[in-house]
Amino acid sequence: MKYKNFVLRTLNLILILGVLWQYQSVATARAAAVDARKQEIAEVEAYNASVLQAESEQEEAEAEGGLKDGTYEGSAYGFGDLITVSVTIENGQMTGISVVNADGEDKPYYEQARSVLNEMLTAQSTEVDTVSGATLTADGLIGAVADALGKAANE
Amino acid sequence: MKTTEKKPLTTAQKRQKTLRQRALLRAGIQVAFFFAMPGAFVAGFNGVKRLFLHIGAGEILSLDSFTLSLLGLCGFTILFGRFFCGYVCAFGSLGDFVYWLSGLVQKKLFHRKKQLRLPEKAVKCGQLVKYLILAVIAGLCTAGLYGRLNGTDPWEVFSRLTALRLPPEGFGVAIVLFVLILVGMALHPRFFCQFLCPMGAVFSLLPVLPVAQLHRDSENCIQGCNACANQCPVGLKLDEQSLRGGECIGCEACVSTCPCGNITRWDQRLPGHFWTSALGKAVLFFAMGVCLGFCRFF
Repeated sequence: MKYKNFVLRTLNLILILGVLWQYQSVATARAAAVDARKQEIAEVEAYNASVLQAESEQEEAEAEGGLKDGTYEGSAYGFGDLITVSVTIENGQMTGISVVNADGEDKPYYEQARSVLNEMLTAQSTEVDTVSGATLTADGLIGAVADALGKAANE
Repeated sequence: MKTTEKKPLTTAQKRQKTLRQRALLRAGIQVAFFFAMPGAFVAGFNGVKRLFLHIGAGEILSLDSFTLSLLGLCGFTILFGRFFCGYVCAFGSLGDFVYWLSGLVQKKLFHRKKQLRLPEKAVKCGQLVKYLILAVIAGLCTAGLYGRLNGTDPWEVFSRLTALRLPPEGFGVAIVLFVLILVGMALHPRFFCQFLCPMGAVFSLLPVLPVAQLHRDSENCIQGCNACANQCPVGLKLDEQSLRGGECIGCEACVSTCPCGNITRWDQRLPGHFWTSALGKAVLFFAMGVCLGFCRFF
């Protein structure tokens, strides 16, 4: 065959290019995997750092002495008007929350929203889930307690 | 009455004339490229080294300037044959110059009629050495050991010299190798190119398009004539079947040597004699070289 030599060399070149192509795709996939893993590690490290920071901040807040005993009133806007609550603190713990004034709230919503009061007592914190369906009232109650706790902490 | 009419030249004289014209044209192109693009072959081979270094390190291959140089040189060679080797490469031109100088010395000082050459068998074996060199360099690059060869690269010495600077410190081995190569160049035409050049090894494995190759019409050859092989710097007797066909550096010394004009290629028959073909390719390569940044001047 006249072009045997040329065909042989062409096949040889195609083979080399094929191997290089294969190598390139493997190398690209590997580099992508390495990048993804690096990003994951970075995210985890960032998360860990933020948790550690939050913990140390909390410790600092507790070291400052926290809440002083007594009864404090706080208020925040609910659905209709200002909601006022009174929070009792004993030994640095919230022991009771009573609603002083929630006249602006619609009754059915208010009844639903009251559950956050117990949740806050159990959690000893205002970081509780709001009540779906009565969000504005529940947020008002949470805000009022937070206001009272703020006063307790600042006294 | 003066008769200035010249005698018509005989066929042999005509052949001698075209032989001289071709040699001059080729030398002219080589000199021009020697000063304009002395670093092209190094850039191309750096592309090869870069490839194996990347593979050794498991990195993604990138299209950097060296890889582009390699692709450019290989692409040009596939399309037009090893025109780069025969007309452009500065190291090849150096080999041609040294061999020519050596011939001149042998003729004038030692009154030798025939210039020294290595025996044919040695040439055929020697042509395989370059593949070994390419394999060793590729292996060292892949294994990440190439750095140990620092100071042994004779091309580095040559590059410095073309930039009119002395080779750097610690290049003793490279200088010795360079001098040995110069001695070899004086003993055999294209000594480095056909025996040692790793880039030549790459080129000789490439599939040159059949239209870009020189063809010998062997049926019309004179029985026992060996004129083309005697003239060929790489000792080829053109034959499509021969695996050594890749050695052809496209110098076209055989074309005008053949007493029957049996060695042809389509571009040899273009109007304007052989000038069109050689100058056309030179201009094309120059344009590509400027794009790839080979040119010293622009």
